[in-house]
Amino acid sequence: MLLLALSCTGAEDAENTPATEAVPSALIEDSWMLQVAQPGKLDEVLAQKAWGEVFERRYSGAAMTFGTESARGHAEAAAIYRQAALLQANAILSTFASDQRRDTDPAQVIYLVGVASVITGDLDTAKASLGQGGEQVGDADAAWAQVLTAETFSLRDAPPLFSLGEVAAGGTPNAELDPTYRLPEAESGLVVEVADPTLTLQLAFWHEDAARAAGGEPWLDAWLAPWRLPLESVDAEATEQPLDALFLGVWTGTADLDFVNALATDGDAALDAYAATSPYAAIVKACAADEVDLDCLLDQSVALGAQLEAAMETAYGSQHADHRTFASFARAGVLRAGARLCDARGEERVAAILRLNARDRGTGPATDPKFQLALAAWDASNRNALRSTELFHPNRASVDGLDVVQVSLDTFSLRVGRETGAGLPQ
Amino acid sequence: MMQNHKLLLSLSVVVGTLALSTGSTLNFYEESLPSSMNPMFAQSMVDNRVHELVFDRLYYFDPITNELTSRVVERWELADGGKAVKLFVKKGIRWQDGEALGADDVCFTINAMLDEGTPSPIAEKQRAVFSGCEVESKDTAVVQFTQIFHNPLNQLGFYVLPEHKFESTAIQPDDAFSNRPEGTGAYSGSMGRRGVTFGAKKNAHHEPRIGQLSLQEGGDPLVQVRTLLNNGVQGIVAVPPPYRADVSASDELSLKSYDLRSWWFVAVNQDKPYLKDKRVRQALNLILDRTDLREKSIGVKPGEQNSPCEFISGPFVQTSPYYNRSIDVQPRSDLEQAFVLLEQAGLTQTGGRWHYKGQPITLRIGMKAPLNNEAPDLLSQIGNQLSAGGFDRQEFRITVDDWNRQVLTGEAEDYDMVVGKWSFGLVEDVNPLFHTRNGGRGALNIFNYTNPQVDALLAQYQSAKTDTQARDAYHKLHEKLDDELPYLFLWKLDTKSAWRTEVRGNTIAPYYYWTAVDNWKYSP
Repeated sequence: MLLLALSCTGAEDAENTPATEAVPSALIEDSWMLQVAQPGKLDEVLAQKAWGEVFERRYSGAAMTFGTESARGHAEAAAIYRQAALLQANAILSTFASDQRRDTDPAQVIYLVGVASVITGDLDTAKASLGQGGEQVGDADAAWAQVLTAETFSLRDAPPLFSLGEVAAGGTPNAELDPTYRLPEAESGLVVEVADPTLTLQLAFWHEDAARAAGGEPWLDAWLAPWRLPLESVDAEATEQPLDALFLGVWTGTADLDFVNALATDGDAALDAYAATSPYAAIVKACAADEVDLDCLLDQSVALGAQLEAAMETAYGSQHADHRTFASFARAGVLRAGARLCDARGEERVAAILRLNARDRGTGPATDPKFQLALAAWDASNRNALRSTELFHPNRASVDGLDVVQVSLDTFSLRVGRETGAGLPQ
Repeated sequence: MMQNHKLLLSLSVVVGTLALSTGSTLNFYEESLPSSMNPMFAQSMVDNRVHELVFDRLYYFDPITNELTSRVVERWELADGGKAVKLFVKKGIRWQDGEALGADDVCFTINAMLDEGTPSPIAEKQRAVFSGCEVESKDTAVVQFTQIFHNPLNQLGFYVLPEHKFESTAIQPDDAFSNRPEGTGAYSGSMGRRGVTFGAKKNAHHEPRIGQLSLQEGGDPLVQVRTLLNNGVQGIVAVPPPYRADVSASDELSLKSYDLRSWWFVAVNQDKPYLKDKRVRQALNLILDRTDLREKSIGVKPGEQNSPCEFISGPFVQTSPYYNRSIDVQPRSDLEQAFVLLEQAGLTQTGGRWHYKGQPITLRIGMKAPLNNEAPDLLSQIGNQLSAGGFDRQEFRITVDDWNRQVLTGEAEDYDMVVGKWSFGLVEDVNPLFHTRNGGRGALNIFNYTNPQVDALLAQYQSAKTDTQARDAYHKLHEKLDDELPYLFLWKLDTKSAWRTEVRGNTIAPYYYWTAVDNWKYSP
């Protein structure tokens, strides 16, 4: 196996490690990859049938199959619905926000702009938009306007427009709900179908509560922190993540997750705080102590993957085809951690480049729907209809009821596609 | 449970292809050679990608942030009450022959598109957008639109051509410029018989970091991947799905997403008497077993999750807002129903073969040759299925040249069916594919399909004032075409590239691919 040497600027920590290792081996000893590489361990873990569904990225099914044995399926769903709501919200704003609205658009879309603005954290626009949507959206509009009059507002105060049913570990929310409105378009008399992202938001909360009911309380806040929406707190206490929270996930261990969470609150200080415990922090610090060195991060993500594969082989006693699959989570994870640092530094463009590379690294079982939806949401905020829809589509079955996001994406794609100049098929 | 990738090709495989010492030349495989270096006459995605290297579009979307920006326009102003924009061209930009780029070039390009003497389907489309262009000064052009657009700069995504290289605004496809183009892009292109070489051209607005690019025509995908592994080339623009696992299995290669809306079809020649009755076309649609075709040519197992290849029932990909989701796909064959339809249409079966008016039918099926690399053996598999359905058949691989010269121009009357692929970006205008050929419309109507109801729906789309009107027109079109079947719609196939990891900064722009080529680096 070809291991790449650390060969980039600012790599002083690497001088203490063998040339063929991306990070000191101690940093990956407790990784989930090495835990499951122990002989017999993977079979033991996979005795829980729900992992098959996690592997296939079908989290609604995983949540049901896990029941009360693990909160992982619900936790994934809680994160996915959050990013789906953000994707919907950005698609709505990119279609109907005041600078994009057309005279022929239904007047009621101002309600959707209000809800979308809440989800994206713009309460001023939300307050200015809600309460004037008119008859067809009247009850929902009034309910949202009402909750925003409170002195303090938390996203959890969102009005329960849809009756999802009682929260239960291993349960499923009511699937018969229809969050769409068929609004009359001015002049044409045709119908514009739009979807209310409130349902998606409620589903996120439902699954978060179900995850707690399934025993996720000790680790859930930290686990969910990277996926929270703008008005939610990301200040999560660092807590030990059990194997079922990490297995088939992008963080190799608790320290990686704590590191990315600390980046959001502490910025660069997180590099020093976690470089000795988190492999991602060690690499990101080496590659981005000053300016972010993209090539260094790309090289080191590959090197860490190779290092993990070699370590898994040693732990297992021989090569196993799953080892490369497992290591590919880390190949994408390093880049995503680097992107989080860029977020903290306000380097949006570099963050996006890293995420686009991470998208390509995290394929097959290492595909992470919540990450892809987050990237799609960012693209939608930039009115990138092509890539956001291409990112969403393969993930639409990851949890139940996500098809409603397509409704928002359809109106968005129509708007953007039709205002783009003439083109011919090739 | 765990379906593991098999490393079919090891790094130590010795292959017949020489691992070339590449110096600072970046070699890559394309689907085929370009057919024209003149962007006014692009006929394939290969052409489009090449044009992105050699020319500048007036405005383009940043492939990372999607910001609408320009390399050649310094600033702009709305004019004529919003029905025009005044563009201030950047100073110091030079054409690759040293001439200065100016407002006259911008207006020349628009006037060339407006000139009815320019036989370009691309120009034909732009005539609905632009009404004129005036040079106000050396660096200032006023571009006039046919209507007020909400975001007018979005209309300015065309490639700028050099006025001094043409004798008139009536540009011809066989002009020498099509082989020896002059652009303001990051690279100059030189078309050879076996490839295209691109030399870096530093300019006021471009600073490419790779000295030379070499486009080679890709052949057998297995050889392409092995050559890439051996560093004989550094990239492959389109890696077929069956070979992607091999790319993913190597730390020296990276698989890159290329966001593109491509769908595959079998066009049916309704001028043939035995294909005129739509029940025959519906029967052919039922004879095709798409699941089997997909498995045998693309390698997708039945029931596979997140397949790169997704069936379609009409002329849009499933992610498109124009896709009518109430029209079901036809994943499996239904020979029983197909035979009922054929008999209703008056065909008779003798000796297991279908006959029309007493004569056995032999279907002549063609496929654009390079598609065989992306979907190996598809043509034969379609032939086999039609044969199993009782039709004799002859199969033909159509060269790119013949495809452009005969099929796209509606002169492929020798064929009964042709297998092809259309690719779209954000704009999903299918009017040129299905409109009756007349007055510049239906410019890509392969078998000159004509149907007044379809034309009416296409006209509704064309004249739609609102998004919903446009969507409704195309939803109805989808439904109509599912009944009429001028095409048998197959699938959307996603596109992935593969590049060696020594190639850096290689962001692939949706649809256009090379938009960010200035940032590409290669250190062998």
